[in-house]
Amino acid sequence: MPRRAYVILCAILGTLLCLIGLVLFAQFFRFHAPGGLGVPVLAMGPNGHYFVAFAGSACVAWGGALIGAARHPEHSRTLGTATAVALVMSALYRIVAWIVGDYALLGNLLRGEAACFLLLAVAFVWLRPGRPAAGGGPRVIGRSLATLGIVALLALDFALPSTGIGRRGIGAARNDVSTAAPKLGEPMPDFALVDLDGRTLRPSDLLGQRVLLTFERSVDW
Amino acid sequence: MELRQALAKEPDLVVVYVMASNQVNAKTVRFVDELGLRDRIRFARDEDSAAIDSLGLRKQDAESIEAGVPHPASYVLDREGVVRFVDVREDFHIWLDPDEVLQVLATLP
Repeated sequence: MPRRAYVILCAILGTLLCLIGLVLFAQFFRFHAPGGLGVPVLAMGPNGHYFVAFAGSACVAWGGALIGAARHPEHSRTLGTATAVALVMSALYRIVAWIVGDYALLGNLLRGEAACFLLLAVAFVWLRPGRPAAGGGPRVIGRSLATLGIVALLALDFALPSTGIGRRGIGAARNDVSTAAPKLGEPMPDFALVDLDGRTLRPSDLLGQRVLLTFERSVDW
Repeated sequence: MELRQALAKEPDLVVVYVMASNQVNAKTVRFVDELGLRDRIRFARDEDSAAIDSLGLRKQDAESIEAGVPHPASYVLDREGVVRFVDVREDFHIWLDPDEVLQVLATLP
């Protein structure tokens, strides 16, 4: 049964990775199509589409290898180990991104996906075929230690929201720049801005409406 | 859709994004256009850094690549143009909690 489960796991994950890779490729070409084809499927920065193309290639390559492993599981021990390690690293990356609150790293995906990666990693640790001639002892100990580490990460992942650790990327309003003015209750100075159409835009043009005025390095949703 | 729903709850709110230059992704502009929000989400550049100087937002120790890049700042203005909320921060890695802005807007007439 474990061998059969390993085959099914490799086939499903390999197919999913190939599909994800194809979606990423489609996104890359969608972004580069003459005139554009509308709103991107994924939020991407000016350089993000190159990352998308690279990630798409990696997904298709790894997915293809996993499909190959489903056909010849006895030759795929190393791939099973590598997949488990990659899944744990992906989960760790997500957990760290959550802790430091880096939304550029988190992207649009849910933090809970880390838990899925870790559970899949445990499956790979235990289901991948062992060496036929190897004794049972050390392998079981190694797999148990790997599982303990993964379960510890899983516990951390689940505990994060309730501990208050993480998501430091969002903070309360603050004023830690001494030169900044005006203060609360003071009128906004009437400076001139230039909008995308080349027209002048002043705060006084917006009187009678409530305004959220925000200064950004760049706008890239 | 979330953006459109959020603005639907604040029918007279205008959001103005100010940048040192037109560093706006064309896809972002198209997205705003498709939602029909071009009049309510405005993108503007601060030529000659006049705005950030008048607001004291210019970085004092900026590297040359950051010339004209302000400290991240957000202001909520009422209908008379009076500042009702200020957030100016050194660290651009920490984002302002949007719920705080919504709470301030709810208190404005």
